[in-house]
Parts: sequence; structure tokens; C-alpha cells
Amino acid sequence: MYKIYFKQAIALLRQNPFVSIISIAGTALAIMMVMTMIVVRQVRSVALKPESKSNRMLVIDYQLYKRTPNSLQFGNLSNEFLHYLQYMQIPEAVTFICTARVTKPVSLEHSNQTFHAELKATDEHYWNIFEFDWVAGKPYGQEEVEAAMNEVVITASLARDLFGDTDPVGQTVEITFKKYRVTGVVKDISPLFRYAHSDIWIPISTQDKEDYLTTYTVILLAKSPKDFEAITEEVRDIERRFAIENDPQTLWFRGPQTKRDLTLRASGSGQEEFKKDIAKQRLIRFTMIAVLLLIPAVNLAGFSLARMKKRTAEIGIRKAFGARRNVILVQVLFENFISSLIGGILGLLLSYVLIYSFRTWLLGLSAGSYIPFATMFSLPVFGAVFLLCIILNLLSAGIPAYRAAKVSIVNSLNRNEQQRW
Amino acid sequence: MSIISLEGVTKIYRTKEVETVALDNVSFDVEKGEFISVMGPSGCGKSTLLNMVGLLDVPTDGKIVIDGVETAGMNDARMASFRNTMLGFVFQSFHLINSLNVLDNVELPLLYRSSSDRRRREMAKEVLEKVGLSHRMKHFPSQLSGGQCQRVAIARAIIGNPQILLADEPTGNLDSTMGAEIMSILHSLNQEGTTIVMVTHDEQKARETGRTVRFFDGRRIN
Repeated sequence: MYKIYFKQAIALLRQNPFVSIISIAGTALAIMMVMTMIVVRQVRSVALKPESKSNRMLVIDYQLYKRTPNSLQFGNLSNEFLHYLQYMQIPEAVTFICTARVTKPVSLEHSNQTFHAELKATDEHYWNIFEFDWVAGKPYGQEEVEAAMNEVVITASLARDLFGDTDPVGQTVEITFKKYRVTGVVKDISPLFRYAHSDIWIPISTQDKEDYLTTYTVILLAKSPKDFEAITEEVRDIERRFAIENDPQTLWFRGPQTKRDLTLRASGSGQEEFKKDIAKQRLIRFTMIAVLLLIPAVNLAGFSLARMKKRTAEIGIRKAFGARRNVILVQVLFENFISSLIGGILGLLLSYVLIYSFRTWLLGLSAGSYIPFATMFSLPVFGAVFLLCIILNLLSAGIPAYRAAKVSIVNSLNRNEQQRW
Repeated sequence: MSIISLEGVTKIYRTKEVETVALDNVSFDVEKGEFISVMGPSGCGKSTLLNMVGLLDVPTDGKIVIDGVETAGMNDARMASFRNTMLGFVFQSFHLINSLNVLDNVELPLLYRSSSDRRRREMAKEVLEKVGLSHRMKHFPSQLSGGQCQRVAIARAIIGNPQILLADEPTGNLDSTMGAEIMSILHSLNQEGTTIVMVTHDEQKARETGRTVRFFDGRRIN
């Protein structure tokens, strides 16, 4: 039965190419806009190597500190409070990341050629939380971090630039005029992986504490996403302990947030305010998606209704030969779904073009950056397109289909278009 | 034994301004295997009667019993199933679906039954063979003559082996040769046991049937 519906849907699309093109283009543009929002969020939060454990990760990157009830300091995590999070019990692992906000000069000894590289200073746990592809060597470990040894991991492309090959393990580089020994080389990381991306990694203990052009991030790796609530409560306990021990000072760590929630860019000065802002941001996104779907759906409903009116006699014939109301309803929705799906696939492809063309603006990537294939072409993305097509289909063809199903057989056969649709 | 029984059937169409009595207290029976014609001037209620018997419309008053089953109070699903299995329709203007080819048009009633694709195809080919159109299976209605369209419509009406065939002026839009061909097909179906009720304006065609029921102003007059 659905094979015949499909054939008929294609035949109907061919019958009036102009209306079909307008209708499919309307669907494609609506889906493109919504899918751009969804794909951007998906790309930013996808759980892929090296951030393959990101669905178990919670992030703290912001704090609010009150020295007295009336003095407020808020902003990026400061080094002085990190140790409060160091010995948390519930997470499987905790890592501290210090990211340089400006690129650092890197060169070989006695070389005039200097490269500018992004730098992250991390502890040893970092290498267990993120899964890098090692080209040569290994990461620095606990001993090296504790001893503040000047060791460095670099990317393959930086190794090639500096040494001309990808196995310079044991050799020395100068980073901001300090010598570091290369312990490992990893494959290049896309900037999409915010916490894993860098050109060079050094032990956090060797990082210049006076360097104010850095930001700190704490990553808490849960054993399972089920532990998120308990981990959040443990963070709240730490804050309470801090308040008791340091009265009247108080400290609040924003979140901790999942990588997905981070894309909402919620803010607030306290847990309640922050939660409210997350809910608000979600509502805003939902409303935007609803509006982006509803406006074209209303227009497409007009097309669907006009098409259904033209098929009044056909509906009467089908009913005369035994089609029940719900069968007509399903047929109309199915046929419309075919054109929605064509529009949906087209819309998804357009959203890819849009995201790639505007990746600097949409994803904060530099012009030369690449977007890993797997971040855009994933099952959740295709699932979202399918779901959106169903929603758009129901919104645009639901009422016409319902009216078609209700239409009187005799009036339909007589093509009495005066009847109420 | 009556396969169709009408008892005091009345159909009134009401609008805000006017009330039109299309059928007024009509009663008659059709025996199983009969081929009857319904005649009368335009607007006398012939087609309305056919719509009532075909469960395409419901009477304002009266009782319709088909094959021993009273049709009043049937819900949409029961009525649809009854139309699908018991009744076949042939219309004056063919009412084929233009976006479907001949084969798909003929298969239509079987779509609403549990029947495999293959079985549907086989049955559609069989009935098209019967009406002499097996060479036009992939054609669309717009590529056929009026007589061919009506033969497709008959094939569609009989594919589900209905006990009753309701034909509303099946030769009305055809020339005499094609009209004769269609009548010949109807006669052979009747000989195979199908009960046929045919609305016609044509006295000659009516004479070819076993019995003629005449209407005037919504009433049966013979």
C-alpha cells in the first residue's frame, strides 16, 4: 500500500512542478535553519575522540567569590580555589586545565624561526580523560607533574614544522624562552574539541603562575552520567565547607555543567539564578525552533489544503471503494511526508553548507580549521531531521488531512468544492 | 431471496433556505442475481437512490437491508468494509485517479484489504484481461479513450468480487459502440452471478435488463 502511496506522491509532485518546488523549498529552508541550530550544538558537544568521554564529563569554568557580603568577584576559575576541587570523591577522575589565552612562541634552540602555538598546561589525569592518537612517545605522568619537570607533548604538525619529522621525542624546544623536552607527539586536534585542542601541552606545575592571560577549567569525569547529580551535590558541599571555614567569605562554582549545557551559554550569580537561566535558554531555543517551524508550516498548510481540494474527487473514490477515514488521513500525511522528507534532506545539506561557510561565526573556528566529518554526520543529526520532517508534516498537513478524511463521499464524487473544508 | 431491500427510504437535503426531498418513501427489493435498471427524468432521485444503496450517503428515514444486514447505525469502519467487500461502483464519469496508472487504479479496492502486493497485481491483471485491457496496464487514464476508461472502471469495480454492482449511467458518456461493449461486459458479469443495479436514461439499455424501476419526483412510480 505504501509503495502505491509513494508512487502517487511522486506523481503528484511531478503534476505541478512549480507548487512542488515552492513547497519543497519552503520545507528545506525551514529545516535548514533549525538543523543549523541543532548541528552547531551537536558539533560542539559530540562525544568523539579525543573527547569521546564527554557524555560523562562535567565542566567547571567559572566562579563567584564574595570576600564580604557586599564585595563580589566573578569570572573565570582562579588558581587559588582549584585545590578545593582536587580531592572530590564521587568522580572517577578530576583534571585541571590551564589554557593560555594568547599563543606562545615556540622555537628550537639557536634557531631564528619561531612558531606561535596554542598552549595548555595540564595535570597527569588529563591524559586519561581525553583519548589522543599518539604518533610517538607518551604523555608526562604524575612524577613529572609533581617535580615540575619541563616536559612537553606537541602535535604532529608542530613537530613537522619544528623538527621536520613526527618523532622528535627526547629533543628540546623553547617555549616562551624556557627549555622543554618533548615526551610525546599526538595527531592534530580540531579546535571543535575545546578541552582537548592545543598545539602544545606542558605540566601545570611548570606554568607561570604570574601569567594572567590564562583561564582555568576543571573537568570532572563521572563513572556514569547517573552520577552527575551526586557530583553536583559534592561541589555544593565543598562550597558549604568553604563558607563555614572562611566566614564571611563565600564561593560558588558555576555548574558543574555538561558539555551540551555549556552550549546554552547560561549565566547567573548563584545556583538558583543559573538554573533559571539554563531553563530560560532552553525555552528560548525551543521557541526559536517552534517559530522557525510554525511559520513555514502555516504557509505549507495553505499549499496542502489547495492540493487536497484538487483531489476532492479522488478522496471520494477511495472512500467509495473501502478506504476508512483514518486510512485517508494516513495516506495524506504519508504523501506529504515524502515531500517533507525531500525538503528535509535538502535542508540538512544546506545547513552543512551554511555551517561550513560560516564556521568562524557559528562555531568560533578559524578560517582554515576543519570540521571532523563524524561530528556532522551522526545518527542523532539524521534522527533530528527525520523528527523535524514528521513535526513539519503534521503541522502543515494535519488539518488538510483531517478535513480530507471527513469529507462526504457524495460531495467529493460530485466535486462539490463548495462544501466546507 | 432479496439481496437489497429498501423500506420507506426518504432522503431530504436541508439548507437554511430550502428543503429538497430527493427520495420520498421508496420501497422495493432486488433479488440476488437480478440485473435491474432504474429510470426517470433528471433530478428524480435515481442517483440518490444508488448512493443510499451503495452506502455513500445515509437516508433521512427508512431502512436499507443489504444481504440481510441492516445498514443503519453502521460506523465508518464497518461501512467502509461493507462497501469494500459487498459493493462495486461504476460511475458515468469513470472517476479514475489520474495520477495512478491503469493497474494501480484497478488495484484500489484491494488496497483496503489484507492482500499481498503480488496477489493484488495478479488479480488486477486477471480482471484487466477480462475487460480486454491487459495491453494498457501501464497507461494513465488521460491516455485512454472513454470506453477504455469505463472498462478500467468496471475492472476496478469487480476486482474485489462484489456481490452487487452499482452502475450510475455507465454508458452515458460513451458512443453507441462503446456503450454496447460496456453493456456486454455487464451482462456477462450478471451471468456469472453479480447482482447489478444500473441507473440509465436510455430506454434501449433499460430494456436489456431484467426489470426496470421507474422514478418521478423522488417516488417510485411502477
